[in-house]
Amino acid sequence: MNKAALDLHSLNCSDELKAQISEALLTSRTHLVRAALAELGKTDWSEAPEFRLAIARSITLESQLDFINLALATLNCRPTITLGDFASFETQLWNPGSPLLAAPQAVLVLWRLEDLYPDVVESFSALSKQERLDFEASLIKRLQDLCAGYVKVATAPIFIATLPDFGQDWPHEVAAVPNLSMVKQSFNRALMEIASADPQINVFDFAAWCAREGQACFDERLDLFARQPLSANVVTSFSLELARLFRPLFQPRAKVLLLDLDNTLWGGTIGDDGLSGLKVGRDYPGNVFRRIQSLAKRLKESGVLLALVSKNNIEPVQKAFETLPDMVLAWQDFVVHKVDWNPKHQNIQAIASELNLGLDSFVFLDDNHLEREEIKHYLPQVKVLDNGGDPYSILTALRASPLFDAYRVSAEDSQRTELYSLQAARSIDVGAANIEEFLASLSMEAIIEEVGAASLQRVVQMLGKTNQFNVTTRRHSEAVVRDLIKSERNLLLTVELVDRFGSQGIVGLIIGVEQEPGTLLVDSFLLSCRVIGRGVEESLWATFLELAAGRAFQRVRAQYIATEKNAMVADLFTRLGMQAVKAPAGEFLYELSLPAAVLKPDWIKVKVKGDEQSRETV
Amino acid sequence: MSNQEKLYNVFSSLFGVPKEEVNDALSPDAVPKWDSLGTVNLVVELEREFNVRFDLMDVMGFLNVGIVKTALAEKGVSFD
Repeated sequence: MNKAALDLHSLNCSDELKAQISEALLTSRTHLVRAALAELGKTDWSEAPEFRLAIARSITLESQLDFINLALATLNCRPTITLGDFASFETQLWNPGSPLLAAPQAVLVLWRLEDLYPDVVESFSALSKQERLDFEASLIKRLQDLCAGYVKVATAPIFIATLPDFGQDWPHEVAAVPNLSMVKQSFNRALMEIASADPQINVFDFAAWCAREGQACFDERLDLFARQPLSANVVTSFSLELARLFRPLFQPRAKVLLLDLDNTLWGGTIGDDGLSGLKVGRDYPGNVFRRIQSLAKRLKESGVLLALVSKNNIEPVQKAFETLPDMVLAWQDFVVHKVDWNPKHQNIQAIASELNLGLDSFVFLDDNHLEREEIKHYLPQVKVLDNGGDPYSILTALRASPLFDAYRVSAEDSQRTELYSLQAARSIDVGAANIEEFLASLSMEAIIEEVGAASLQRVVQMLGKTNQFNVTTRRHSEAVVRDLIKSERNLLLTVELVDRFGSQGIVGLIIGVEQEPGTLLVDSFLLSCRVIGRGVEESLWATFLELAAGRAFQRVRAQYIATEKNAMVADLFTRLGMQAVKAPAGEFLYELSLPAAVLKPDWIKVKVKGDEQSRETV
Repeated sequence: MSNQEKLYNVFSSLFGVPKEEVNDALSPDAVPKWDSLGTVNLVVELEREFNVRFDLMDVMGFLNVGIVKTALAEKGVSFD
């Protein structure tokens, strides 16, 4: 059992209860797991969001449900698991009336080839080559049909297991191609390709988990006795693997990785050892630091912002980045550099305000125990990656952390460092005397477009993580957005911002849904932090009203739902010219009759995509 | 804790039977959760608690607590 797999950061409960949960899972004792679940039920956790998970499976899982429930609860959700029966997968996944498809938030398909086709598997090497090839083709066809049939009737994301494999019983069976391993590999490859093309379909890499646990993850004795192959020794590991699989549904991905330098990104301290004494390279221990840098670089390329937080003089550090031959990370891979002698918690606070990002999306990696304790003490929202201080444990802590898990990353994600660095350039580049002149000097263009397949992923991502400029903070799933765009009576618009530095990608979204004939309700309206204060929302709003009026809507209604983080948009709708209407205490409702005259910023050129003409704003 | 207590605790916590109601004569007829699935859970828990490994042919004959106790005793678990 890898302890790093157990992450209790997101669970809202006392440290004593966390210790109890941790002990129950790590000792894998059923009665301790049940006791921990019972204790958890007495806390605030009982008000955590529900997680309705449907599992279609070919194996017995009933005995493991308590473990799975407790592991999923560490995501700070209340799981309700529905297990499928042993009828065919198609019967259960193609029929909207099947108990498995009664409003699940996620569906897991867990199977083994040995259960699906026991007779074929047992006699595989006796089949002719053509029969084996035909079987392989029919298996992949079945998978493709299963997926196609599922997405027709269901909107919840589905997670499909890869087929585990432990090789053949004898060498001559390895030589007879295609052998069973090859068939399973073809299936797994087909699954991954299907998932890469459809965001509703995801891979549960069951085969990879089995490979990490080894053949002992299956207890053949209990498999034969009760078709319960998962051995008691791995039930916790398996349950935590499921928790990690579903984690991105509940926990947003961390946005910033704060990195120490000395003895974290290279061996030695630059102040004591000098440039020539630093260890980063091809041999131990320099190769460990090189690998840590590679991990950080891969995270950066997937959209995580890197920030350097080091107690050093800046000149030798910059020199090291310029001259050390085996560095993977370059100075410009970091979006912010805090290389000075200030306390790290102060520097981290400064980074949060410079990037306009919440501390709860920050992760801190440092070899120094005292620095880690300082951050935990002063900035408890920051997630601190605990480690033993030695290079290998730093490497492991970073690699095993689930904090950066996401199902997919978009094109915007991979360019994020560049976008934020440009933001820094933008704020330095103010030659203009006043703010409007400055904004005009950016030559901004807002490209507004209706939400479609191309922007769907980005839209769902923004709904999921925008906190500050967000009037209702509704976290719609992809399934919900898909449903909304099906109706011509709804109006969903994204805005992409381009300025003279380049494109910022899609930075804003407004969702209008038909509340009743003639009335369009603003269900969601949000903007990325990095473009706040430039007038983008006004451009988007003006286009939204024009298009709504063009579709014969007579009025627009809107609502502001206050959260801890969205005070900045409390007066947005009055600022945009709407009338506040009488509402129950604590609610804020607004209305506007169409067509309406709207003030638009004259420093942003608006282009409505799909419309032929590009319209200059007045 | 004696092995007897450990054994009764397993039955009690696994099948939700009050401890005072567990005795050697207790059988699946009187315990709704002691079905075929319950038997699998029982095997897993007993193997963990007493660090033994059962032949599953024997498990099919687990018709009351006393028989389970005898099976454990044959594997060297003492119930003196």
